[in-house]
Amino acid sequence: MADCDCDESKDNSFGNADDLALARESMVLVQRSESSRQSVTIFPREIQVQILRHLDWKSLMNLRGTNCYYRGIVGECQDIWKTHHDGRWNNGKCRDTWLASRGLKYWSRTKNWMLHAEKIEDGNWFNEFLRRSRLDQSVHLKLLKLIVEHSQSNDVWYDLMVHGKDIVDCLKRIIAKERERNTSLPGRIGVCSPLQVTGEKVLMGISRCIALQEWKFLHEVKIAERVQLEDGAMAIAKFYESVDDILTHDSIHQFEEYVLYELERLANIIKNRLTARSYASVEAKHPTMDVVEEMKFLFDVTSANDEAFRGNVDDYYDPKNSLISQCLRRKTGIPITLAVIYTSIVRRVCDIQMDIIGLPGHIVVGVPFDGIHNSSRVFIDPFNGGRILSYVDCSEIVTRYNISFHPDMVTPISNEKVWQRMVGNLIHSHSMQETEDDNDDGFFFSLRFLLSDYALVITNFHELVSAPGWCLQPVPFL
Amino acid sequence: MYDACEALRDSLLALGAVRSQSYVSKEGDTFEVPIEIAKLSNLVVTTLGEDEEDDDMDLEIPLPNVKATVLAKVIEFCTHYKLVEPTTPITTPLKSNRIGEIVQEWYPSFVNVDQTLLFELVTAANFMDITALLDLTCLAVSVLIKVRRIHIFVVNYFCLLHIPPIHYVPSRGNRRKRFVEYLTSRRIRYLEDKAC
Repeated sequence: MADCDCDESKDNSFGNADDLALARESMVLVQRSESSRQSVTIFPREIQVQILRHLDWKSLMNLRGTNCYYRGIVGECQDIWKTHHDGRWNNGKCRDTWLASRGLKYWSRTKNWMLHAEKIEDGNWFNEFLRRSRLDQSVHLKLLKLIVEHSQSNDVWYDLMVHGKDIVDCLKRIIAKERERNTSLPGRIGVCSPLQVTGEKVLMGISRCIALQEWKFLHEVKIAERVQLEDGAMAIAKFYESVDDILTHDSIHQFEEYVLYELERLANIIKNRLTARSYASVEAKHPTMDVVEEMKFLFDVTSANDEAFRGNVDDYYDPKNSLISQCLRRKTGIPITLAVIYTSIVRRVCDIQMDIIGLPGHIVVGVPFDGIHNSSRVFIDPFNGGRILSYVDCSEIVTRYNISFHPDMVTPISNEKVWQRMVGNLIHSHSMQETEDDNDDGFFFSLRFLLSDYALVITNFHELVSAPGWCLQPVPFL
Repeated sequence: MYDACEALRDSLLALGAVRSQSYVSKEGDTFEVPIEIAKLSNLVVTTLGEDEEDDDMDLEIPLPNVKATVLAKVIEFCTHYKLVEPTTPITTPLKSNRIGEIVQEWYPSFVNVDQTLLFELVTAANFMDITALLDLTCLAVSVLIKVRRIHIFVVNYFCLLHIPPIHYVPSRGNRRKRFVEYLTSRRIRYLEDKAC
C-alpha cells in the first residue's frame, strides 16, 4: 500500500463515518501485522483454491475485483464456477444453430449440442457464468420494453426468444416474485401485473418454440434408431406444458424424465414377470408372444392392479388423453396414445419394434410380420384390455364403422403419420370440448403449427407469439 | 469437554496403555500423542509406513514449520476429533455465514482465534496433511472473507500472506485506486496523530 503514490490534497471523503472507522481498523491491523510478518508463510495455491471453494459467487466476484493476483486465481477455478453455474441455473444447457432462411433457430443435437458440450468441458465455465449473469440482468429491462413498446417489439421478442432456455430461470424468478407480490397486496387477488403477464407470455413462447424446434428436428432426422415413437409424443406434450407446470418444476419440460422413468419401470415389471415364469425354456411359444401375454398385466383392467391402463371411454375427447405424460399418470387414454405406450414398453423389454396399425377410427398394435398371408398376423388392442386380435377381428372393427375393409388398412404406419394423427386428435378434441378457461381460447389454432400440411406463414417472432392461442391472452390489469 | 479428552489422553499415555508418537515443534518442544490420534495425520502414516508394528522404534517426527502453540492446538483438535466426535461433512459452497450452523458446537470455538494463529493452523494442517483440520480451517478463513468487507480482509490477508507490493496494484477502476489512496492518506494522518 505504501508504494502507491498518493496526494493528500485529493483526500476526498470516501464514504461515511462507518467507512472511516473500518479504514482505521484496517490500518491498525496492518500495523500489528507488520511486526509478525516474518513468522507467517504464504499459502500454497491449492490451499487458496480450497478456501475459495467455500465461497459463494458474489464473494468470489468481490475477491476477483481486488487485484490482479486474485483476478487470475479466481478466474482459473473452473470446477468451482461449474458448481456455481449448475447451482444457480437449472436450464439452458442446450445450444441452437442458426437457419437464416427460415428466421428460426433449429436445435441440432447431433452436431452443435455436442460441440457446445466439448467447449464447456474445456474449462470455460467462468465466462459462461459471466455471460448468463449479464443475460439475466438484461431480461427484466427487455420485459419492460415489451410492455411499453408493444407495437415495435419484434426485435425485443427476438432478443428474448433467441436465448431460449438460458433465460427460463430468470423468467421464473420474475414471475414468481410478481405473483407473490400480487397475492400479498389487498384487493389484487386474481389480477395480474403487466410484468407478470408479459413474463408468462414470454415463458410460454419459449416453451412452445423449444417444442416446435424439437418437433421439426424429429421430422428431419433420417436415422431411425435415433428417434423413437415416444419422442414425438413427448414433443407434443411439451407444446402443451403450461406456465404453472414450468414454474412448479426445476427445469423446463421436466416431465420428460418422468415419462422415460415410468416407461423403464413398467418394462422392468414385465421383465421380472417373464423371468419368474421362465418361458425361455419353452420352445413352443414365440418370445414376442410371451411378452404380449405378459403385457396383458398392464393393459387388462380386470387384472385388478394399480398399474393397469384402461381406455378412457367416459371422457374420450379430453385433450389429456392424447398427452403421453398425462396418460402415464392417469393410467388412461385413447387408442393411439396407449398404442405408443405399449410399443415403447415392448421395445424396452425385448428390443422389438411393434407396428402401429392405423385402422379407420381405431388404432391397434401389430406384431412384426414378414410372412405372406395376412391371416396369420397377430394384433393387439391396448384400448380394450390388450386383447389379442386376428386379421378377421381387425376387419370386423373397420366394418363396424360402416367402412369397407381393405388389406392395406393393416399396413404399419410411420412414426410421422402417428404423430400427425395425434395432433389431429388434439385439434378435434379441442373443437369438441366446451372450454371454460378463456386463456385457453383458440389454443388448438396454435396446434396447427405441428401439422405437416400447415403452411408456416410466420416470418418473424412477433407474428409467431401473436398467433392465436400461441401464448396466454393477457388478463385485464386493473 | 476438552479437559476430559486431554485427561484421558494423558492417562492413557502415562499408563503406557497405548503406543505414542512424538512430535517435535519448531522450538524443540516434544509432544507425545497416542498413535491412533497421531494417525489422523497422513504425514505420520506415511512416515511410519511398514515399521508401524515395530515396538522398538521410537520415532520422533520433526515439524520445523510448526510452532509449539500451533502444534498444541493441532493436537487438541485431533484429540477431540478422535475421542469425542468427528466433524460433520462440510458441503461447498457455504450455506451459512456461521460456522456453528455447519459443524458441531465445539469446532467454532476452536477456530475462534486471531487471524495469525488461524493462518498458521492452515499451514500446519497442510504440512501435516490432516484433512479434517485443513477443511475446518479453510472453512473458517472463507467465512472471514464472506462476513467482512472484502477490502478490509484483503488488506489483512495480503499483509499476512507476504504478497509482494506489485500485487497491491488494483486490477482496474478508478474507485479502487482512490480507495487505496484514501487509505494511505488516512494511515499517515493516523500515525501522525498517534505520534502527537
